[in-house]
Amino acid sequence: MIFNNYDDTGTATYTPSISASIVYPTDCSTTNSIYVKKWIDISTNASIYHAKGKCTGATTPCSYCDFWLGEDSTGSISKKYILKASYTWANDYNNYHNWSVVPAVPVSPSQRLRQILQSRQAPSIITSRTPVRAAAEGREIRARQTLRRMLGDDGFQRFLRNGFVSVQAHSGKVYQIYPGHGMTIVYLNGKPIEKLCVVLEGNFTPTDHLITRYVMILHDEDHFRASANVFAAPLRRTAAIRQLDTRSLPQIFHDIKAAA
Amino acid sequence: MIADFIEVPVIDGGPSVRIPVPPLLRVLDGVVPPPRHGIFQVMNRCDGDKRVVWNSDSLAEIQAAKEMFDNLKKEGLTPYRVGVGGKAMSDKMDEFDPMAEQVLFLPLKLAKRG
Repeated sequence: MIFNNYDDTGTATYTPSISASIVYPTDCSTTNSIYVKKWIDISTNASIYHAKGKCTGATTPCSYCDFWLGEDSTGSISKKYILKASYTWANDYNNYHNWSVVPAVPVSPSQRLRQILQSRQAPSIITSRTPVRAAAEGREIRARQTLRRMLGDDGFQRFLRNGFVSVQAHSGKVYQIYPGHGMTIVYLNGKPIEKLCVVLEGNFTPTDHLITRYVMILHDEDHFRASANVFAAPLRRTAAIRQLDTRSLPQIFHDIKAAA
Repeated sequence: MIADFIEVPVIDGGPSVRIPVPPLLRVLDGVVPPPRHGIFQVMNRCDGDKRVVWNSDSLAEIQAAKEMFDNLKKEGLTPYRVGVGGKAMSDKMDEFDPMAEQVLFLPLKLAKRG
Protein backbone atom coordinates (compact mmCIF):
# COMPACT_ATOMS: atom_id res chain seq x y z
CA MET A 1 0.00 0.00 0.00
CA ILE A 2 1.12 3.52 -0.61
CA PHE A 3 2.05 5.00 2.68
CA ASN A 4 2.78 8.57 1.88
CA ASN A 5 4.48 10.78 -0.58
CA TYR A 6 6.00 14.16 -0.40
CA ASP A 7 7.38 16.91 -2.50
CA ASP A 8 11.07 17.01 -1.83
CA THR A 9 11.41 20.69 -2.45
CA GLY A 10 10.72 21.23 1.23
CA THR A 11 10.72 19.53 4.59
CA ALA A 12 7.68 17.68 5.77
CA THR A 13 6.81 16.19 9.11
CA TYR A 14 4.70 13.09 9.29
CA THR A 15 2.81 11.82 12.26
CA PRO A 16 2.70 8.10 11.44
CA SER A 17 5.33 6.20 13.32
CA ILE A 18 7.48 5.57 10.31
CA SER A 19 11.03 5.85 11.53
CA ALA A 20 13.09 7.63 8.99
CA SER A 21 15.36 10.55 8.59
CA ILE A 22 16.62 10.60 5.07
CA VAL A 23 18.71 13.24 3.41
CA TYR A 24 19.21 12.48 -0.22
CA PRO A 25 22.84 12.50 -1.20
CA THR A 26 23.78 14.16 -4.42
CA ASP A 27 25.67 11.02 -5.41
CA CYS A 28 22.31 9.39 -5.69
CA SER A 29 20.81 11.72 -8.26
CA THR A 30 19.47 8.81 -10.25
CA THR A 31 17.43 7.50 -7.38
CA ASN A 32 13.78 8.08 -8.12
CA SER A 33 12.06 6.12 -5.43
CA ILE A 34 12.69 4.86 -1.93
CA TYR A 35 10.70 2.11 -0.32
CA VAL A 36 10.62 1.43 3.36
CA LYS A 37 9.80 -1.88 4.96
CA LYS A 38 9.00 -2.22 8.59
CA TRP A 39 10.29 -5.22 10.47
CA ILE A 40 9.79 -6.23 14.04
CA ASP A 41 12.56 -7.67 16.14
CA ILE A 42 10.59 -10.40 17.88
CA SER A 43 13.00 -10.63 20.77
CA THR A 44 12.61 -7.00 21.79
CA ASN A 45 9.51 -5.94 19.87
CA ALA A 46 11.56 -3.05 18.52
CA SER A 47 10.85 -1.69 15.07
CA ILE A 48 13.56 -1.64 12.45
CA TYR A 49 13.17 -0.09 9.04
CA HIS A 50 14.80 -1.07 5.82
CA ALA A 51 14.93 1.49 3.07
CA LYS A 52 15.57 0.47 -0.46
CA GLY A 53 15.97 2.82 -3.37
CA LYS A 54 15.88 2.51 -7.09
CA CYS A 55 19.14 3.71 -8.50
CA THR A 56 18.48 3.44 -12.21
CA GLY A 57 21.63 5.01 -13.55
CA ALA A 58 24.22 3.53 -11.23
CA THR A 59 26.70 1.00 -12.54
CA THR A 60 27.64 -0.27 -9.11
CA PRO A 61 25.46 -0.90 -6.06
CA CYS A 62 25.06 2.20 -4.03
CA SER A 63 24.98 1.99 -0.26
CA TYR A 64 22.69 5.00 -0.06
CA CYS A 65 19.96 3.08 -1.79
CA ASP A 66 19.91 0.11 0.51
CA PHE A 67 20.29 0.74 4.17
CA TRP A 68 18.77 0.09 7.54
CA LEU A 69 17.29 2.73 9.72
CA GLY A 70 17.44 2.22 13.43
CA GLU A 71 15.55 3.95 16.13
CA ASP A 72 16.86 7.16 17.56
CA SER A 73 19.70 6.92 20.03
CA THR A 74 17.41 6.56 23.00
CA GLY A 75 15.70 3.60 21.46
CA SER A 76 12.33 5.27 21.67
CA ILE A 77 9.88 3.54 19.41
CA SER A 78 7.06 6.02 19.63
CA LYS A 79 9.12 9.03 18.63
CA LYS A 80 7.97 10.75 15.47
CA TYR A 81 10.56 11.50 12.86
CA ILE A 82 11.00 14.18 10.31
CA LEU A 83 11.42 13.25 6.68
CA LYS A 84 13.82 15.71 5.27
CA ALA A 85 14.86 16.19 1.69
CA SER A 86 17.74 18.51 1.13
CA TYR A 87 18.18 17.67 -2.51
CA THR A 88 16.27 19.55 -5.16
CA TRP A 89 15.64 17.66 -8.35
CA ALA A 90 16.61 19.32 -11.55
CA ASN A 91 13.95 20.85 -13.77
CA ASP A 92 10.84 18.75 -14.17
CA TYR A 93 12.22 15.54 -12.84
CA ASN A 94 9.80 13.47 -10.83
CA ASN A 95 9.45 15.40 -7.60
CA TYR A 96 7.66 12.73 -5.66
CA HIS A 97 8.91 9.75 -3.76
CA ASN A 98 6.55 7.01 -2.90
CA TRP A 99 6.79 5.38 0.46
CA SER A 100 5.39 1.97 1.03
CA VAL A 101 5.12 0.09 4.24
CA VAL A 102 4.83 -3.62 4.66
CA PRO A 103 2.71 -4.37 7.71
CA ALA A 104 4.67 -5.60 10.69
CA VAL A 105 5.03 -9.33 11.08
CA PRO A 106 2.61 -10.35 13.83
CA VAL A 107 3.96 -12.29 16.77
CA SER A 108 2.25 -15.65 17.05
CA PRO A 109 0.78 -16.74 20.40
CA SER A 110 3.42 -19.46 20.77
CA GLN A 111 6.20 -16.94 20.14
CA ARG A 112 4.64 -14.56 22.63
CA LEU A 113 4.47 -17.26 25.27
CA ARG A 114 8.07 -18.21 24.56
CA GLN A 115 9.11 -14.58 25.05
CA ILE A 116 7.32 -14.44 28.38
CA LEU A 117 8.97 -17.65 29.54
CA GLN A 118 12.38 -16.32 28.52
CA SER A 119 11.82 -13.02 30.28
CA ARG A 120 11.05 -14.86 33.51
CA GLN A 121 14.21 -16.91 33.53
CA ALA A 122 16.23 -14.14 35.14
CA PRO A 123 15.55 -11.34 37.62
CA SER A 124 14.23 -8.20 36.03
CA ILE A 125 16.92 -5.54 35.84
CA ILE A 126 15.91 -1.92 35.91
CA THR A 127 18.21 0.36 33.96
CA SER A 128 17.87 3.68 32.24
CA ARG A 129 20.64 2.90 29.79
CA THR A 130 20.03 1.61 26.32
CA PRO A 131 22.64 -0.76 24.92
CA VAL A 132 23.78 -0.19 21.38
CA ARG A 133 22.17 -2.50 18.88
CA ALA A 134 24.08 -4.70 16.52
CA ALA A 135 25.20 -2.81 13.43
CA ALA A 136 23.37 -3.95 10.33
CA GLU A 137 25.08 -1.79 7.78
CA GLY A 138 28.62 -2.03 6.44
CA ARG A 139 29.36 1.66 6.92
CA GLU A 140 28.25 1.53 10.54
CA ILE A 141 30.37 -1.56 11.16
CA ARG A 142 33.44 0.23 9.81
CA ALA A 143 32.70 3.30 11.90
CA ARG A 144 32.46 1.12 15.01
CA GLN A 145 35.76 -0.54 14.15
CA THR A 146 37.33 2.90 14.08
CA LEU A 147 35.74 3.84 17.39
CA ARG A 148 36.90 0.58 18.94
CA ARG A 149 40.48 1.29 17.93
CA MET A 150 40.23 4.75 19.44
CA LEU A 151 38.55 3.76 22.70
CA GLY A 152 40.26 0.45 23.23
CA ASP A 153 38.41 -2.79 23.93
CA ASP A 154 37.26 -1.85 27.43
CA GLY A 155 35.98 1.55 26.40
CA PHE A 156 34.23 0.09 23.41
CA GLN A 157 32.52 -2.55 25.53
CA ARG A 158 31.28 0.21 27.84
CA PHE A 159 29.94 2.05 24.80
CA LEU A 160 28.05 -1.05 23.64
CA ARG A 161 26.68 -1.62 27.13
CA ASN A 162 25.70 1.96 27.96
CA GLY A 163 24.94 3.41 24.54
CA PHE A 164 27.22 6.43 24.99
CA VAL A 165 30.86 7.41 25.36
CA SER A 166 32.07 9.49 28.29
CA VAL A 167 35.15 11.61 27.94
CA GLN A 168 36.76 14.10 30.29
CA ALA A 169 37.97 17.24 28.56
CA HIS A 170 40.81 19.54 29.62
CA SER A 171 38.46 21.74 31.66
CA GLY A 172 37.49 18.80 33.84
CA LYS A 173 33.98 18.64 32.41
CA VAL A 174 32.74 15.22 31.43
CA TYR A 175 30.93 14.86 28.14
CA GLN A 176 28.47 12.06 27.59
CA ILE A 177 28.33 11.59 23.83
CA TYR A 178 25.60 9.65 22.08
CA PRO A 179 25.59 8.30 18.55
CA GLY A 180 23.43 9.74 15.79
CA HIS A 181 21.54 12.91 16.56
CA GLY A 182 21.59 12.36 20.31
CA MET A 183 22.53 15.37 22.39
CA THR A 184 25.78 15.55 24.28
CA ILE A 185 25.25 15.95 28.01
CA VAL A 186 27.86 17.94 29.90
CA TYR A 187 28.64 17.14 33.53
CA LEU A 188 30.63 19.15 36.03
CA ASN A 189 31.46 17.57 39.37
CA GLY A 190 29.01 14.81 38.63
CA LYS A 191 26.08 17.11 37.93
CA PRO A 192 24.60 17.74 34.49
CA ILE A 193 24.98 21.39 33.54
CA GLU A 194 23.84 21.58 29.91
CA LYS A 195 23.07 19.71 26.73
CA LEU A 196 24.81 20.44 23.46
CA CYS A 197 23.59 19.50 20.02
CA VAL A 198 25.97 19.23 17.09
CA VAL A 199 25.25 17.06 14.05
CA LEU A 200 26.94 16.26 10.78
CA GLU A 201 24.97 17.38 7.76
CA GLY A 202 24.24 14.46 5.48
CA ASN A 203 23.72 10.76 5.68
CA PHE A 204 26.57 9.83 8.00
CA THR A 205 26.34 6.80 10.23
CA PRO A 206 25.39 7.26 13.90
CA THR A 207 28.87 6.31 15.08
CA ASP A 208 30.49 8.77 12.67
CA HIS A 209 28.50 11.51 14.40
CA LEU A 210 29.81 10.28 17.74
CA ILE A 211 33.43 10.09 16.55
CA THR A 212 33.28 13.63 15.22
CA ARG A 213 31.96 14.98 18.51
CA TYR A 214 34.50 12.97 20.48
CA VAL A 215 37.41 14.36 18.49
CA MET A 216 36.07 17.93 18.57
CA ILE A 217 35.61 17.84 22.33
CA LEU A 218 39.04 16.45 23.01
CA HIS A 219 40.67 18.98 20.75
CA ASP A 220 38.80 22.16 21.62
CA GLU A 221 35.72 21.95 23.79
CA ASP A 222 35.10 25.70 23.59
CA HIS A 223 34.86 25.48 19.82
CA PHE A 224 32.58 22.50 20.16
CA ARG A 225 30.28 24.46 22.44
CA ALA A 226 30.36 27.43 20.09
CA SER A 227 29.26 25.12 17.25
CA ALA A 228 26.38 23.71 19.24
CA ASN A 229 22.84 24.55 20.13
CA VAL A 230 22.91 24.79 23.90
CA PHE A 231 20.03 23.54 25.99
CA ALA A 232 19.35 23.54 29.70
CA ALA A 233 20.66 20.69 31.78
CA PRO A 234 18.43 17.66 31.72
CA LEU A 235 16.62 16.74 34.86
CA ARG A 236 18.15 13.80 36.60
CA ARG A 237 16.36 10.85 35.22
CA THR A 238 14.79 8.23 37.32
CA ALA A 239 14.55 4.95 35.58
CA ALA A 240 11.04 4.21 34.47
CA ILE A 241 10.07 1.14 36.35
CA ARG A 242 8.62 -1.41 34.06
CA GLN A 243 5.42 -2.89 35.31
CA LEU A 244 5.97 -6.56 35.81
CA ASP A 245 3.42 -9.02 34.58
CA THR A 246 2.47 -10.79 37.79
CA ARG A 247 -0.03 -13.17 36.25
CA SER A 248 0.68 -16.84 36.59
CA LEU A 249 1.81 -18.75 33.50
CA PRO A 250 -1.42 -20.76 33.28
CA GLN A 251 -3.36 -17.50 33.41
CA ILE A 252 -1.17 -15.99 30.66
CA PHE A 253 -1.61 -19.12 28.57
CA HIS A 254 -5.35 -18.90 29.04
CA ASP A 255 -5.42 -15.19 28.07
CA ILE A 256 -3.29 -15.72 24.97
CA LYS A 257 -5.38 -18.65 23.88
CA ALA A 258 -8.54 -16.64 24.35
CA ALA A 259 -7.15 -13.76 22.34
CA ALA A 260 -5.89 -15.94 19.47
CA MET B 1 43.98 -1.64 -13.08
CA ILE B 2 41.46 0.83 -11.72
CA ALA B 3 43.03 3.44 -9.50
CA ASP B 4 41.57 3.61 -6.02
CA PHE B 5 40.09 6.82 -4.83
CA ILE B 6 38.50 8.43 -1.83
CA GLU B 7 35.12 10.05 -2.04
CA VAL B 8 35.38 13.29 -0.12
CA PRO B 9 32.12 14.42 1.49
CA VAL B 10 30.17 17.17 -0.11
CA ILE B 11 30.89 20.53 1.43
CA ASP B 12 28.21 23.21 1.09
CA GLY B 13 26.00 21.08 -1.13
CA GLY B 14 28.46 20.83 -4.02
CA PRO B 15 29.32 17.60 -5.81
CA SER B 16 31.52 15.12 -3.98
CA VAL B 17 35.15 15.10 -4.93
CA ARG B 18 37.24 12.04 -5.70
CA ILE B 19 40.76 12.12 -4.39
CA PRO B 20 42.94 9.42 -5.97
CA VAL B 21 44.97 7.21 -3.68
CA PRO B 22 48.63 7.39 -4.76
CA PRO B 23 49.73 4.08 -6.31
CA LEU B 24 52.40 3.60 -3.66
CA LEU B 25 49.84 3.57 -0.84
CA ARG B 26 47.45 0.80 0.03
CA VAL B 27 43.78 0.84 0.94
CA LEU B 28 43.21 -1.21 4.08
CA ASP B 29 40.09 -3.29 4.68
CA GLY B 30 40.79 -3.95 8.35
CA VAL B 31 41.37 -1.31 10.94
CA VAL B 32 44.78 -2.15 12.38
CA PRO B 33 47.68 -1.17 10.14
CA PRO B 34 50.76 -3.41 9.81
CA PRO B 35 53.69 -2.63 12.12
CA ARG B 36 55.59 0.55 11.27
CA HIS B 37 52.78 1.82 9.11
CA GLY B 38 50.72 4.95 9.53
CA ILE B 39 47.05 5.12 8.67
CA PHE B 40 44.75 7.76 7.26
CA GLN B 41 41.07 7.28 8.01
CA VAL B 42 38.89 9.49 5.88
CA MET B 43 35.31 9.77 7.05
CA ASN B 44 32.83 9.79 4.23
CA ARG B 45 29.23 8.92 3.59
CA CYS B 46 29.92 6.23 1.03
CA ASP B 47 32.13 3.83 3.00
CA GLY B 48 31.82 5.01 6.60
CA ASP B 49 35.53 5.65 6.38
CA LYS B 50 38.24 4.80 3.93
CA ARG B 51 41.58 3.65 5.31
CA VAL B 52 44.90 4.18 3.59
CA VAL B 53 48.21 3.00 5.01
CA TRP B 54 51.77 3.97 4.32
CA ASN B 55 55.08 2.54 5.40
CA SER B 56 56.81 4.99 7.70
CA ASP B 57 60.19 3.47 6.77
CA SER B 58 59.80 4.28 3.11
CA LEU B 59 60.65 7.80 2.01
CA ALA B 60 58.68 7.41 -1.21
CA GLU B 61 55.55 6.35 0.65
CA ILE B 62 55.92 9.16 3.14
CA GLN B 63 56.17 11.58 0.24
CA ALA B 64 53.03 10.09 -1.33
CA ALA B 65 51.21 10.22 2.02
CA LYS B 66 52.14 13.87 2.44
CA GLU B 67 50.79 14.62 -1.02
CA MET B 68 47.53 12.90 -0.18
CA PHE B 69 47.36 14.64 3.19
CA ASP B 70 47.66 18.01 1.46
CA ASN B 71 45.03 17.10 -1.13
CA LEU B 72 42.51 16.00 1.48
CA LYS B 73 43.14 19.10 3.53
CA LYS B 74 42.73 21.28 0.47
CA GLU B 75 39.30 19.78 -0.11
CA GLY B 76 38.13 20.94 3.29
CA LEU B 77 38.71 17.92 5.51
CA THR B 78 40.28 18.51 8.90
CA PRO B 79 43.07 16.12 9.93
CA TYR B 80 43.38 15.04 13.55
CA ARG B 81 46.03 12.88 15.10
CA VAL B 82 44.03 10.69 17.45
CA GLY B 83 45.05 8.37 20.22
CA VAL B 84 44.43 4.66 19.94
CA GLY B 85 43.68 1.95 22.50
CA GLY B 86 41.82 4.23 24.87
CA LYS B 87 44.34 7.07 24.87
CA ALA B 88 42.08 10.11 24.76
CA MET B 89 44.01 12.41 22.47
CA SER B 90 43.07 14.61 19.57
CA ASP B 91 45.48 17.09 17.99
CA LYS B 92 44.61 19.08 14.92
CA MET B 93 47.38 18.72 12.36
CA ASP B 94 48.49 21.68 10.31
CA GLU B 95 51.19 19.72 8.57
CA PHE B 96 51.75 16.10 7.78
CA ASP B 97 53.75 14.25 10.40
CA PRO B 98 55.23 10.94 9.22
CA MET B 99 55.37 9.79 12.85
CA ALA B 100 51.61 10.07 13.31
CA GLU B 101 50.20 6.65 14.05
CA GLN B 102 46.62 7.39 13.11
CA VAL B 103 45.22 10.41 11.32
CA LEU B 104 41.49 10.91 11.14
CA PHE B 105 40.10 13.24 8.47
CA LEU B 106 36.78 14.71 9.50
CA PRO B 107 34.34 16.78 7.46
CA LEU B 108 34.06 19.41 10.18
CA LYS B 109 32.59 21.93 7.76
CA LEU B 110 29.51 19.74 7.74
CA ALA B 111 29.16 19.96 11.52
CA LYS B 112 26.32 22.27 12.42
CA ARG B 113 23.95 23.07 15.24
CA GLY B 114 21.42 20.33 15.66
